[in-house]
Amino acid sequence: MSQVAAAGKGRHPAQRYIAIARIALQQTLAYRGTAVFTVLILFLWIGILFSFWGSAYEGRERIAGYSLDEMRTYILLAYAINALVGWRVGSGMMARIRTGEIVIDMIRPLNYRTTQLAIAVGNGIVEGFISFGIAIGLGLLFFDIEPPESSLVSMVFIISVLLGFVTKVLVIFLISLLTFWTLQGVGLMWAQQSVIAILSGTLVPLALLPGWLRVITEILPLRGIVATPVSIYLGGTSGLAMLGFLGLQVGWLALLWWFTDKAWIRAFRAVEIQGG
Amino acid sequence: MPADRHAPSRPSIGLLIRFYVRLQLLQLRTAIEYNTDFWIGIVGSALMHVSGLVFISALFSQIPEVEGWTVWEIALLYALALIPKGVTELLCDGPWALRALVNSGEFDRLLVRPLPPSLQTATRIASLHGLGQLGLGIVVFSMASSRVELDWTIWKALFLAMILTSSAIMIGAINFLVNMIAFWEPSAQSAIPTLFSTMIDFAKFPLDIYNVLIRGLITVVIPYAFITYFPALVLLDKDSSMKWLGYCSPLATAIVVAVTSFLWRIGINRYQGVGH
Amino acid sequence: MTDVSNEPIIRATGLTKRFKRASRSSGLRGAVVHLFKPHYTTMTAVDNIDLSIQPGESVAYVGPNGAGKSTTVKLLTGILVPSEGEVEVRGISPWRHRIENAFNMGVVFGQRTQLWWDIPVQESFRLLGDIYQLDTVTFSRTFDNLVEVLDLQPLLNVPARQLSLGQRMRCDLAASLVHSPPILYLDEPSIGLDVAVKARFREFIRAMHRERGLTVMLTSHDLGDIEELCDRMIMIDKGRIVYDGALSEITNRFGWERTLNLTLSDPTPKASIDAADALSRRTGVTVDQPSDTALTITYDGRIVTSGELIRDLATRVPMTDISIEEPTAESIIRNLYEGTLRFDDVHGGEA
Repeated sequence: MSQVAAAGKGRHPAQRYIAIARIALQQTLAYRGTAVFTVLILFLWIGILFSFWGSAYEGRERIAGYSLDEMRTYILLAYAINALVGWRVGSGMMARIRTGEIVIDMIRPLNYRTTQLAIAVGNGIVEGFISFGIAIGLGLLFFDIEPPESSLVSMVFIISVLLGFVTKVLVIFLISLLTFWTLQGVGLMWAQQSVIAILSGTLVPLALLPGWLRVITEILPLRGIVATPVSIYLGGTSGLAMLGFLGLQVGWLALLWWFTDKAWIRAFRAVEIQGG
Repeated sequence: MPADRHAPSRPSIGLLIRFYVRLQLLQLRTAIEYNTDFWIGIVGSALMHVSGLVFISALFSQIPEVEGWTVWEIALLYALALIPKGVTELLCDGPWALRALVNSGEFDRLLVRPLPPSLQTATRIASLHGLGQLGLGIVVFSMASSRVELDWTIWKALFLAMILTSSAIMIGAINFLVNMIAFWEPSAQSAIPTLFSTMIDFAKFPLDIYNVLIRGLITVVIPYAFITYFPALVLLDKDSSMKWLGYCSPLATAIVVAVTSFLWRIGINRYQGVGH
Repeated sequence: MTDVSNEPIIRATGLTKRFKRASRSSGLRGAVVHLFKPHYTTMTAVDNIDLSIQPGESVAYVGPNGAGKSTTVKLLTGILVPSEGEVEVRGISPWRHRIENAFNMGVVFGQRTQLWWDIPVQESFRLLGDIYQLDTVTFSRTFDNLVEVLDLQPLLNVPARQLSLGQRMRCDLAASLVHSPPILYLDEPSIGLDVAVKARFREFIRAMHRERGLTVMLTSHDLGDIEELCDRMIMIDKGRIVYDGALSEITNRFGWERTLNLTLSDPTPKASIDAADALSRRTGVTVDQPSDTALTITYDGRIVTSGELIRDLATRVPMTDISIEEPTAESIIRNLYEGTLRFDDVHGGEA
């Protein structure tokens, strides 16, 4: 498609991907109306949750260790972060696999997984801008959102968010690969959205999940998408613990980076066998 | 040309109903033929709704009730939304194809056939995953109804049947309502229909937790509350000044259907360039 | 088999269709400005046209892109509502009584199939039979006939999505006639079809037209289609009808520009001057000399004949060979599409 075609030949290998990101950015800007509404849909749930917790906290100081202010902050941040990677990343890839256009990507001298990451970055800049803008606006207008306790915490927070961003893209990539075998888009999309929403801590803070589910979240890398950065933001994590969290995220990322390559090759071969 | 043919006339209601059923079954059959997709669609949609339920149970893991509603009572609200949604997805998901029909000019073909375009639009898609929603809704309802204070009587059973039917019709009408925006704003992508369709999630929680704005939104603007909250007040014999609204659900449906038909007419006129 | 009453089967009077287009500058600024002060331009796609088509006629509706062809067809089929004027098809207004009118026509939209995508062709047909309320006997008769004539037997169990373009077109043609309508509209039907399929297609329609008295209205860029299928041609340009008459007469109407090519016996560089002098009292004549041994005379066939020109030139110019070029229907239509067709009327002209 045009994104990849226009990538051009850069000197440094990374430049190709930057070009791809730039084009994705332009495309999302062109559809900014849709982007705004897409983000608004996510924020519907903030309305629901804020109302719910507002009622739930009547007569209570803390629930699962969070005060009302902390809970609200959590929700706002969780949704804003989750909005950084929208549905476009997964659905675009699945559509190309379904229509067969993917063969064009296969013959290009580009790593497809990295290409998807670049596209997500391009999209994310626009959608993230919108969602964080709305979140901060809401936060300042209606509620007392606490800023993080120190600039160190802010920095670590941002790093953690970025690591989580890449993690989410890779996870979506893996699930979207299943399209090679099933050709169905919608069902996979839903599965992927809902699984990520729960296990990343977006829907509810992980502390609230039933025990067995909580164990699963500790094993999987998904918590790094939302739960980890937000808990860093909310403070109370020692410097050592922060390092530990980041380290865990990086470790998972490395594993995913390697695994997505293997999975892609596997999918590639499956297509060849089936005569794609 | 054979001159002895009986003159064909405007299709009667009976004929229209038969065509509806037939066209719908056709779509369903087609959907089933794509085997893996069938199962993935169901699994994906089920996962999505299960995550909603996990979410509720997580919310209530630490608190017994909110504004006088227990977790199972809220599960009831959920079920009251899931069941008609499932039915509508199965039988009236066609309006989601309206945007594509208008954009591609395919809609012209609907206008040259001797059947109402609304019927043809409604039967355009049959989403089998509606079955997943329906099934889940029934399961949740049965589980919830035994765990809440619900005194079953004949009247309540009839009431329930009436509510579910009227809710399904309302959701079908709303499907048309939010998607016919395409007649006025035919851009290739739009998140507006999804935005309004997702607002049903507000109604999965008791009205009591919301502020005036949101309450007004789902009672008057897009009356999802008549699908869940008000009927639940009746079923659960709740002490509320708004209980009588539960009996008004069919009226609310009638109003929505009337508004939708009116606007549909205007939308078609617009497509046909009336008044230019 | 024509209608005894001599009433036109399709009649349009003063038919006009205007569209409002938003005109705004691009970018964010333009969009915001448009929100507060919307500026619209009105564009007239079909401008006050009159049409009268008798039952059994076969009409080509021809014009460059944007001339109003498809808008007219949409007005006649009830898809669009006219801004002004009246349309009557078999006595009823196609947009006011859309469903009743649907029984009176078959429509083939080129490139867009009316078959259901995922089910066997046969089932699409059966469904259509029911939609058009055909009883089993009538339906079977028509269906079997169409299958035989268009050779659809091998395709009946195939879902539409697996058909090639040519196969789909044949099926669409049959599908449009399953209810034996008196009128068939063909909107750019042969785009993308190969020669063999086109030939079969044309043959079928010709047969339907001849044997069943089917009224055919065809919009097409394919001149072969037009020449083989239609006796009457309506030319539309910029929303107005510029010609409405027999196809064969079109050369008389527009083919007045002729070219006389002369080959000279000896190289005569100044031949053009002599020729111009010899023809000085003739109007509408231009002389060109492409080479020392050739002369080209372009003239208006309505004013002067080739014979008269030759007589004028015979004594002044040494010619050994003569040829006359006359526009064909094809070249005239091409000129219409390219916008180079000249409509100037001279006394002695036309329809």
